[in-house]
Amino acid sequence: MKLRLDRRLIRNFDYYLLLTTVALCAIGTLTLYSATYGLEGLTDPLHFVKRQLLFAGLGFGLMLLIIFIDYIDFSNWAGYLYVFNLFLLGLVLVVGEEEKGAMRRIQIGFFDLQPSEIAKVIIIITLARLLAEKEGQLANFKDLLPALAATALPMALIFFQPDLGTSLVFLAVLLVMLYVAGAQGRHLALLIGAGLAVAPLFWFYLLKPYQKSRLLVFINPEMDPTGQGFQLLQSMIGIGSGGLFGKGFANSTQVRLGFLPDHYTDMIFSVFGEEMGYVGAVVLLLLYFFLIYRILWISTQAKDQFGALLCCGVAVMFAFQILVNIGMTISIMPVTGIPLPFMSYGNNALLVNLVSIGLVLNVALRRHKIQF
Amino acid sequence: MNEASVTLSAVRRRVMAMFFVIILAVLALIGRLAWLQIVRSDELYAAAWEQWNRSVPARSPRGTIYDCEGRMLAGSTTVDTIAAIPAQVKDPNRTAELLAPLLDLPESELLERLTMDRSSIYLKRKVSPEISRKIRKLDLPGIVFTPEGQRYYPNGTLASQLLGFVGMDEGLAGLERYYEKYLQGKEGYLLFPTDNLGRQIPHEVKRFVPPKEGMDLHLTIDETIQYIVERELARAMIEFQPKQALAIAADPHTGAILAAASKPDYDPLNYEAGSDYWSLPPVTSSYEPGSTFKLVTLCAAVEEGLYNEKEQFYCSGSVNVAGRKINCWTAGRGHGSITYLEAVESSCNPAFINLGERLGKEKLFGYIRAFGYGQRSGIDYPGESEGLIFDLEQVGPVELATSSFGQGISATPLQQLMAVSAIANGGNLMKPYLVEKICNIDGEMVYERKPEIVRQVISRSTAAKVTWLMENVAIRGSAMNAAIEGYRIAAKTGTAQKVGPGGGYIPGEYIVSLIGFLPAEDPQIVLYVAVDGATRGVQWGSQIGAPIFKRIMTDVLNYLQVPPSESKALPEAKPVKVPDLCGLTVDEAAARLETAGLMLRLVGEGQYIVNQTPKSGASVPRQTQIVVYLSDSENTSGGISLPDLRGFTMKEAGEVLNWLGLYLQAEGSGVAVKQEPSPGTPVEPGEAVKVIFDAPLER
Repeated sequence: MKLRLDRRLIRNFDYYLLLTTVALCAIGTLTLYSATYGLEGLTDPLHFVKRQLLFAGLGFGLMLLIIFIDYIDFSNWAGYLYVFNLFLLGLVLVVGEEEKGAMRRIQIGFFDLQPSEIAKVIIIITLARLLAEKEGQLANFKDLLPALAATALPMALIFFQPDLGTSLVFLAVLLVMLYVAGAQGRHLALLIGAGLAVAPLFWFYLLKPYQKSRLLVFINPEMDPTGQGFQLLQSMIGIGSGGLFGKGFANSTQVRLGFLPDHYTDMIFSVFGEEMGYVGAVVLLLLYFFLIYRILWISTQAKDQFGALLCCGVAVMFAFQILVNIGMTISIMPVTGIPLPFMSYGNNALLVNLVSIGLVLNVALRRHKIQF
Repeated sequence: MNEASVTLSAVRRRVMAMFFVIILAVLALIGRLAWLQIVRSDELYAAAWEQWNRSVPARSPRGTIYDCEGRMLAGSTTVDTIAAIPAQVKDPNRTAELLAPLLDLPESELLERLTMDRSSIYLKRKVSPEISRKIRKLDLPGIVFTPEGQRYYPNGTLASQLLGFVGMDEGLAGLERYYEKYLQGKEGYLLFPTDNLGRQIPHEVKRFVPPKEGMDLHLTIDETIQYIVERELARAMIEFQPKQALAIAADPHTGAILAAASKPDYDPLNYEAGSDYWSLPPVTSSYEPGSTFKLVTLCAAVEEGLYNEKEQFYCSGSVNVAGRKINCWTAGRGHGSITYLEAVESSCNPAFINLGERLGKEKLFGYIRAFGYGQRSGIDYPGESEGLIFDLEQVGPVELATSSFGQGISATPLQQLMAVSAIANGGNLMKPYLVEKICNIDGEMVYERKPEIVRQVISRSTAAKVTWLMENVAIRGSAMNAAIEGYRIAAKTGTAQKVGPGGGYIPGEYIVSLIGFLPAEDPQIVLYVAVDGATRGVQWGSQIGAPIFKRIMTDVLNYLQVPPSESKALPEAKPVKVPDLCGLTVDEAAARLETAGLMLRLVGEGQYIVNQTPKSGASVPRQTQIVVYLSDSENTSGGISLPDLRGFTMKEAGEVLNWLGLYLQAEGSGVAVKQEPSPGTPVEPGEAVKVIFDAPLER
């Protein structure tokens, strides 16, 4: 591992992506302030904001560090990273803290490690490496098996925490990366078909009652207006009551009066939509859209398969989470507990998101073969 | 190119495809946001507002309802409603104990409400000021007072069906309901912002948003005319003992309704008790109009140039239409050879059938629709009936014939009133209305109604001609009994059989009516009166409708100070010779008196007339009442069953009793309302009968 950065590489630095990321972090922090300031039971009214800022700092530091490492090195370390991640995922099931019936975190000092978040970026690196090795030769179904197996293992561990949302992110990343890497359309269709065929098994044997009721409530939010449907209705009431221009910063009545559960984590978009209105929400959506566009553009500029697939994986991870999370707050997606990148409070997610952006910046920097 | 770059370009293509899918997804999100934040924004804001603010509504007093002269018909006062905010009640047990006797509620029930898991709850709505004052003195935490309006009606039951009534929160019938959004005003609130658990938020100020008072209605109704109409309807209820009596009056030039009522009615402050009478039959009920409808056929025939009053017509008593025999009302005798003028005066059915045939179904039904039949007039009153007329395809020769004289169709009194108004005003069908303006609390007018012409139905000359014909009906024809001395009157009687629930006619049940306007040369008021199912007297328009019309109009003309018509236009009031009615049935006698200008008054029970007063051959002024005694046998000696004297004047009651060999012991003045012994009691000649006289109103 060599920490080196050729001065000529700087010309390739993608400021657009960095600035978009910084802007999203800033909006995220401000919204978090609005959603948590003076929250009941907080000794420090800025508790969440401070922690988020601390981890943003750490994240940007990690991002910088990653930029100095040639991303090809990550391809070489993929095996170690993968095994290490499996170890953590196994560990969390044994020593993890139980929270809302799920084992997701390992407490290390003041930091709760959440291996399932870290697993997202590691599976992207793993898949990029496995698929890049194939050089687009994925004509037979058995060519897909290594990637399938590599994804299934961590995904199963996460599913049993249980964390349905993150498992779904894995699924989306897997399918899109296979597609981009050249998998046959019929093979993908077969995979999706098989998935749908076993879905009833999941419904009857593996999904927890709360997960089922979330899905049912998505179909009919009025079914349970005080329980699972409550959150959905409150979210829609909040966003809708914001109207065209919103109620203004820190004026979310839904939050102030405590009507919106999970308002600073999964439901933060609802707070933003209520305060900033339609105009604000569309601006935020366009910002996210530009972020994804930029990552995909870099993907097309990458000098090799690994780089292109890495960027693609990161783009899918973001796109899927953004679409499902925002879709959930406005009731066109079921409630699955997927956080909104850069907005939802979550230390691990923020670190992982910034690291992912770092990887993409890295690919952008080294997109051309350097001519000495 | 090497192999790597080939696969890289494949990667790029696939990335672009994926990018396209993401664009679609983002557009879907933007669209959905627009749906929530723009289209449904108001609705969701209201939902949000509702859950942030727990409030006790404070209702405004309703707007006042005035008549056309600014006299109050319905007013409002403010009373307190007692409510509780359970979260703020300090000592529920003690509070319940103190309040129970004051609110006249069981302590256990109060305790339950005071501890209910709700942000606020009513304890008792609209309590008296005295109770409210006592509770205020107790100064109990968590007990709040909110003002609410309480309706009152200074004239009691007057115009109750027209005005409607108000429940706890809103107008439930009549104008109170139709104009709810104006009268109601805007609710105010006592605001208590709360969090998700219903707790009051500290530092949040309790706010009182005062209610906005409702707006005032100014009606076209004239309180005095309404009173006259209701008084006479009440009198008719006593006199003829019918199921129902109704009347509606309008200004023919504008369509403004001056009075509308029916009896029996109800007390708006105790409306539950009168639930059968909540509607306003002149507007909400429709039935077969009978002969008053002949005016439509007449207008059509005159307008189309198919009517010549000098032309001869022969009435044999019936006419054969497509194999069906249709009778004239003369029950077999027939009018014989008459002119078309006489045919109108005597309301001859075959003559009108003939006019209908001349017009043909397209034209006749064209006029019927043009006069507004078969459609709602659009009056500002809830529940208007639209009546029923044949579809043109259903009309065969028989339907055409019966429609020509008002059978087989169904109309509301209001429709007939507006049709006759068109004759009175020179041919324009007006849109009737009840509210002429609405003012806000500061007296600023927010709405003004202008008279609205629906369409011109007939020409001015046709209207004048038909008016002249209607005058003749009142001079020589069936409406003679409605004539008022000094005034030219245009009128038409009607007698319609009632259609039962099965569809056929109910034998012996009639709705008798009279419609007309005054003065004929410059109509000021058009009035329709009808009596449904009279059980006393003769069920003919001339015998029942006419006297009610005359009494109402006499007082109304006096009240409106309408100058009498010029004397040269008046017919001479010739004395009439009383015919011999003894031995006749009631129907035969009535037919004989129909165009004689005399009225028949029945006493006793039976098939035949056995005695009459004045005696036959006597010369009496027109509109004199002939009192006849009915019995099943010729023999009147021995036990007499005491007749029902209700509705008689003191003089009439005295005559009848005297004639039966009984003595009158009178009490009070007015018309007979009560008698002792009661009607039907066997009495011997020489006994005294106590009769109490009073004003005819049912108060």
